[in-house]
Amino acid sequence: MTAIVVSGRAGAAIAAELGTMKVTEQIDALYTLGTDPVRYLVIPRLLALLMVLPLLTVASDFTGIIGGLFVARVKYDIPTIVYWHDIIDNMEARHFVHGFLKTFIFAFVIAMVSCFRGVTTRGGAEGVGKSTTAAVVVSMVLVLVLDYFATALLNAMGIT
Amino acid sequence: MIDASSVAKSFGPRPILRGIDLRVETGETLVIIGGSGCGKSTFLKCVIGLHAPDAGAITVDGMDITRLKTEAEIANYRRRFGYLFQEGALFDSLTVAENITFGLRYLTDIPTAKYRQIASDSLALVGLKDVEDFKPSELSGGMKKRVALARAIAAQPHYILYDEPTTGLDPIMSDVINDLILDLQKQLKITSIVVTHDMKSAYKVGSRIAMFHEGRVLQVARPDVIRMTDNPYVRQFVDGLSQGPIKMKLKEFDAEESAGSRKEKA
Repeated sequence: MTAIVVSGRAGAAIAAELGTMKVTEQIDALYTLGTDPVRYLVIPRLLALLMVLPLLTVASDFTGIIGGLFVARVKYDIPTIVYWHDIIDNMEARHFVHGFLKTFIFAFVIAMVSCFRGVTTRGGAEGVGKSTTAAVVVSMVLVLVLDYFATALLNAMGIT
Repeated sequence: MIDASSVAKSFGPRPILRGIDLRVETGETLVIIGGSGCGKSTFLKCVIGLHAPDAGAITVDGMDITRLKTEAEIANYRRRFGYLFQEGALFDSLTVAENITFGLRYLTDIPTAKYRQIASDSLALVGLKDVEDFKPSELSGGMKKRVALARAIAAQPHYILYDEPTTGLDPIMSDVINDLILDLQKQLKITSIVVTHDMKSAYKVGSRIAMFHEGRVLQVARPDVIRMTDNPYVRQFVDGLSQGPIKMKLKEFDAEESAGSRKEKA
């Protein structure tokens, strides 16, 4: 879920920014000034996503648990202590690890797709719009598809 | 000296350069003129290595761009060039001073402490001062061009490649930029290639003018010779006439349709 939101938010931002840099020749300018555009633009964004997406996922995991508590209290009148007991009884570290490991795959995919779409943009403002849309759509679909494979892989490894 | 021989480049099925032979002598300003899409910008990008030519060779001071392999060789090649982009291509997230000194970090060994001074000196050469801390979005079109020019000269290149330096500027600012190009050539003894379709600018800054048409060089000559040329293609271009051997279609589909109907008749 977090990965989907991030691919919408960060993926679009990356593709739009790099796309604009491409159509205004700023990426060519980087090259003429002795910089490798990939090293300068892509790698920091990849690292940023690799760091932030797992953290965001942890935050959203906790928000989910707190949200659950709120619903349990208000709607179903389940005492807080019972809710916590159930959470602690039923949740194991591996559940958390499972989700946490997948975020790295998603972060990599979102960064690569968005950067690639950005730096290969052509054709002015319209091109920037197109590559932003493509970046978001492709990374969302890839996140969903890869989720199945990642789950299967992690299950096979015993991390369910 | 920049020496290009039989440079060819296609984008997909579309050939852009079909064998360019051109030599730029040290200290001269060669102006390349030609209609849109004739390959003049592509040629400039081949010279600096933004595009790799499909065939032919470009040799600069004895180094062949197509044969450069290691990162050090490529850096050594690129250090010789300053490139002025059509729209300036200033990095909009950086200030003017940061833009100007951006290349120094990668192209030179100059200590960071001197960057500020170099930024001011480069700005002074293009006739600006006290704009170091502005963002590019706060500058006018003419100022952006000047800042871009300051960035191109900051690392003290031997060659400057100008991609349509006067396009999009008012006539007065265009002439100011022309004066700057001449000034830089005199003061810094820089060899330049100027790509333009502004004939006034071409006559003013060029020591020689080369006309490109459909990926080939039609004529290379001194400006006064070009002014008197009897080559019908060059004549039409320098006079700026819509009628002549160079067919610029009024409507894109007209020419295709007539070409199609001709084929039917045949």
